[in-house]
Amino acid sequence: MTINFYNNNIELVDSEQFFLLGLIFKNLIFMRLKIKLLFIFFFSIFTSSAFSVCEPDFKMPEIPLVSEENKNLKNKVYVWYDASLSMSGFTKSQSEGVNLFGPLINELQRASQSLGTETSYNTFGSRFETIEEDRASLVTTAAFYTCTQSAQACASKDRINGINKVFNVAKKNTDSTVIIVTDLFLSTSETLAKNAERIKSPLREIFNDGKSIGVFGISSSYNGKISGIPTEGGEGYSSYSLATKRPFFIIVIGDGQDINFIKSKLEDNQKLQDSLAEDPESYKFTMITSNVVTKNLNTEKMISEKNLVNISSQSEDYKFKYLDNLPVYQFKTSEKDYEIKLKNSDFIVKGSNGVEKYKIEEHLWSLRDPSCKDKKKKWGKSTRENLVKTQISDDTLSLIFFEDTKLKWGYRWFMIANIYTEKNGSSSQDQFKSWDLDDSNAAEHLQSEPKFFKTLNLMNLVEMINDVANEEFKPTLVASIALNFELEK
Amino acid sequence: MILNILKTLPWFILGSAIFAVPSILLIGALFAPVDVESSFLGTEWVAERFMNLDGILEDGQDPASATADFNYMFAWLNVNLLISTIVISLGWAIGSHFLNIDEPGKAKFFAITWIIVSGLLVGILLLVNYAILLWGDTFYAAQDITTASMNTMVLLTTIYYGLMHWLSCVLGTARQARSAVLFANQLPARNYL
Repeated sequence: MTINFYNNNIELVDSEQFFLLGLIFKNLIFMRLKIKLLFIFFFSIFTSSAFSVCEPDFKMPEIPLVSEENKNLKNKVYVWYDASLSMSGFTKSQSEGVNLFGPLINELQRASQSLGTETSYNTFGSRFETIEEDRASLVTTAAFYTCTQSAQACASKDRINGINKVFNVAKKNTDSTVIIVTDLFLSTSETLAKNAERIKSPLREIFNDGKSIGVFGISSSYNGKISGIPTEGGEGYSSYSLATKRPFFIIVIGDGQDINFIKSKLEDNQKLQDSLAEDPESYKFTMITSNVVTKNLNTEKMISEKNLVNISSQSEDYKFKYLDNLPVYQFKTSEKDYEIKLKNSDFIVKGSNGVEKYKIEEHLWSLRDPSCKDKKKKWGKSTRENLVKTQISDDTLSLIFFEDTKLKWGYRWFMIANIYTEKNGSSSQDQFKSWDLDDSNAAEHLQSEPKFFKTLNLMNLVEMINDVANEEFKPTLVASIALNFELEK
Repeated sequence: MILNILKTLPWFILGSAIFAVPSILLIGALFAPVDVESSFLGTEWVAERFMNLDGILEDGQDPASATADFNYMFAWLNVNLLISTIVISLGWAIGSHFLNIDEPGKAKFFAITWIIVSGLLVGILLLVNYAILLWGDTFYAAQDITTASMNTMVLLTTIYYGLMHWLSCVLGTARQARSAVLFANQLPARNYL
């Protein structure tokens, strides 16, 4: 029995030889496989020790999951018109001033139709009912506000705004957008004690559902009778018909982006722009929300190497990676402090009051072996505090790490910073103060026979909304960031 | 001359050894692992006296590991100080034989030279101390010492190695040049020199 190998050609002699040859080949293949496996085994051991991760055992921050929310999904829109008699003054022509009520309400109706799949029109104030579209189209005419009851009954109903009922409807329809058109002329009794609670209670649920409230104030020409003005000494109510100008309000309850959609539509209106050019005080806007944060920056991996501004990505040993959803900056430096800049527009509801204060949850570890080669050296959790300072501007949030802390050189440091909102901003609501009429000043204002008539208890309501938003405020995790660096002298 | 130098050297070695031997024993003990007890000198006092334990704990580091690093640094500091002292002192001891003292009383003039050499040594001792504890980046354990403790350490080591230099000069200086070294002329004359 012979097996001949000639230039890699095998000459087979008989079937036994063929069987033996097959056995040899089989053994050869197994041997090769074993060698390969051994090679892979040693290679994996080598690579795992040489390129092992140099970071402490830490608990990953609880980063919210990606929201399944479909941004293109449209919902129902409820439009509520204040049907009180005094609103008719906005519909009548007036020689002095520009009438913005008509054009802006028409604009609002168009915008509301684009906003949702279906629009429902309703009235509140003197009549609390759902109305047909045909009737809704009359909202810019005096006929819409005609009171068929006796003059006394009409005046009595006019004194109660009843906005709390609309808020109650809004709280039940959390998926919808609610738009309210009103003169916001709230009687003092509506803003006190139990009545105030009737307003606050639905607001709490609205803010709890993550909704925002946008308040638009527009000063328009007016030709009508304002009733329900408290007289001196609180003995009754009087009316006033000499005003030629008065603000009306559009309140939008919904998602921040829906409010911004309405805002952009209204602000694009040519008549409003002309009016603003003449009098910048004729339009005011504030957005109040319990949670001004639109998204967590980690969820959508919006933090990049560009956010760390004072360490060059070209520097030695620089690496940027995501550990699940946690961005980790790894570098070697002799710089003593590091700045991370985040764009406000990336995570704050556009047009909202923003964030006044942030809270940083800090976790710091140190290792006395920057190269991570000495297995005897262990990571230790530091007890140092106040490691990160925040600087808030209109456009950015700057996080300055270790500005007031002297870290030891020759160490490797690992830091995780969880950035939470601590307090919402509240600056833009103050602009409504100039239109506010207090109960105690109402008689005096009336006696001065003003051309521009202010809104009774306006700030009471705006502050009430803001207070509830602040009550319902919950710290929100904006971002979690990790730094892993070797500090040189 | 060479004979004279060789005759003086044992006295120089004797003077140096009084300080150098404890120093060498301490260095040996400091280089040994923390859990190994030295037969001659304990080293716990070094970390207890000089190391800022609060800072170590604040950074979450293991005090035992930090002590080992601190001892290692202190050992190298002493090695450098010891070598510097021996080099300068030996230089003086040998050099004193070459001083031009050709008449009685002239040796006193070389006191200025000895003071300059001693001042140079003190300068080198301070330089070595601050290079290791403050300016250098070789030993990160240098950060585990407070400024007050660092100054104490600098002062004590300078005094210690300064005394070693003085004693080795007192005993190791050439007979004719003894008046140049502080208090060395108080020694009894050695006929075998």
